[in-house]
Amino acid sequence: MVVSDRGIGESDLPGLVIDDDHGMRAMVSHLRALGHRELALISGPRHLSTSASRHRAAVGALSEQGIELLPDRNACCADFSIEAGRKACRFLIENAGNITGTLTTNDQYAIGAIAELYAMGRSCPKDMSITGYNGIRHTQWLRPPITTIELPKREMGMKMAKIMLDRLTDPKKEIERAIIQPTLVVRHSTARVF
Amino acid sequence: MNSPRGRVTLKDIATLVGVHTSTVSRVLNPNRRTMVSDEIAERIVAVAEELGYRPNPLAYGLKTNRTGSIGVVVPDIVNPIFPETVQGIEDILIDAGYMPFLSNSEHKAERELRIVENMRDQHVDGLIVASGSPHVAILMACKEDGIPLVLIHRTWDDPEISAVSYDDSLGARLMIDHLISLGHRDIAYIAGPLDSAGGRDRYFGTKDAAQAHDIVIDERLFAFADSNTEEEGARCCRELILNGKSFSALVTAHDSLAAGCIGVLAEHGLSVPEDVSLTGYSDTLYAAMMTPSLTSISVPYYEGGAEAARLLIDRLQNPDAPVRRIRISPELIVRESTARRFAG
Repeated sequence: MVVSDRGIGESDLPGLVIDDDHGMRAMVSHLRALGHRELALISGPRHLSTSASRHRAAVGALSEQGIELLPDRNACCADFSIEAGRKACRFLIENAGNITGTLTTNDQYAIGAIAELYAMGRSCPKDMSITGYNGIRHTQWLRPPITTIELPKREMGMKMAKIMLDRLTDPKKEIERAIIQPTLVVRHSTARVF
Repeated sequence: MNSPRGRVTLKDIATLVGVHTSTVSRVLNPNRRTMVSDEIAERIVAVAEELGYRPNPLAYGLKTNRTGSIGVVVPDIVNPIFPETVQGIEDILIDAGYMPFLSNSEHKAERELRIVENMRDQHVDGLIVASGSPHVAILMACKEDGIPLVLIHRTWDDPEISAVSYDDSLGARLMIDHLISLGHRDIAYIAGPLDSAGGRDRYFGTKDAAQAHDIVIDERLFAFADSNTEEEGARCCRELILNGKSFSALVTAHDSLAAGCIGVLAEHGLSVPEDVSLTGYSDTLYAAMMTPSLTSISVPYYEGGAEAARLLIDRLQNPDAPVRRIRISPELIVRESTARRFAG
């Protein structure tokens, strides 16, 4: 078995680990450089290791910049849908006070959040900067194109297949863990604070 | 005592209980359990559960000549219509106790052939193949081996092969009729790959529908994408603008093509729908999320996938089941990207 980013930290399974600390740190630094301090977070179901890791990474990255994530500024979604992102965005606008930017833990949330922002008569990035995570294709082509953290998905698949093939060839081979470094891709859903 | 690969075998259980392997086999087969005394049967079941015994599909396959696995081949998992199709296929197959094997041919004929050959070597019970370009070799090979095959997203003239397809000519006509009703007559078109059935049917369907409204076909208003991607949509949109023949509506053969057009139109100072009405096809995730939201043709891909799986299961359960060819009608979804042509 080879696993991808499923809380393998505590296990001894071979597989991939995504460096979410690195990803979230890059995103928060980008927003800070644009003058954002009043930030909110849309995150996923906390019982799933991927969501938990990204939530922890975001809170940590904010805290390194001296920003405390207030409970009213964290919308936690029950699934990974665009619809959940819409609802979370509405919750933040109604409850989070004067925020200028929202981080999310996956692109669907960002897509939904931007759609909801427009539905509420506001716009992105003028009224709020919004960021994604994963770098699915759509982020590049929607309006505005979405600033996101890009995972090298095809390489990840190839890497996993390679680890699997290595293990099939030599079952006694040392357990391999590949650390995946995601990268920041700046597009137009983030802008300087007005 | 476990087999080398760690899997618990019938022999492991037999050794522990102190009976012959065939007795264990009999007990663990619901149809034959009555042939063994209750007391021994209970002990065997208890030991099997304790060891975590799971039937070995390879061994089962050798006896029954069935593996319970179904090969599913799609051309492009990045194209949002295929995840929906696969969901439909999986929901039906898994409920019926089959295990789908998914593979992605990336529109490459040799790769598709290699995948299908591998799947045959793995003794899949049946195949569902979605791909726009029929490769005769694959179809013939499956027929020779007697592997039930259902085609989806394409038809093939062989009346002996079951297929699920979509009426793309109708979809193309619905879109042209919609634009004509909004007063458009200068309509540009970005076609999808013409080596796929969908690309071809939408292209000819669009031309036929335009001619039915007495619109003169001007070649400068046509561009041809090599793939249904945003990049190709952007490239074709540039080409159409460079051709210099103005248009008030831009019809595309796929939502992804349309998504690639919006930015290019904006670069040229053209806004949607004020200056150009823009349309997609397939009503993917994109259509509702784009700004403005995209008028598109909704195709029930999930249902199509489910229908293909049902056809295959019918064939597997009854090899004499009649071949069926199902054609599903699409539907027009009007959103913000199309508007009445400005008469000023």
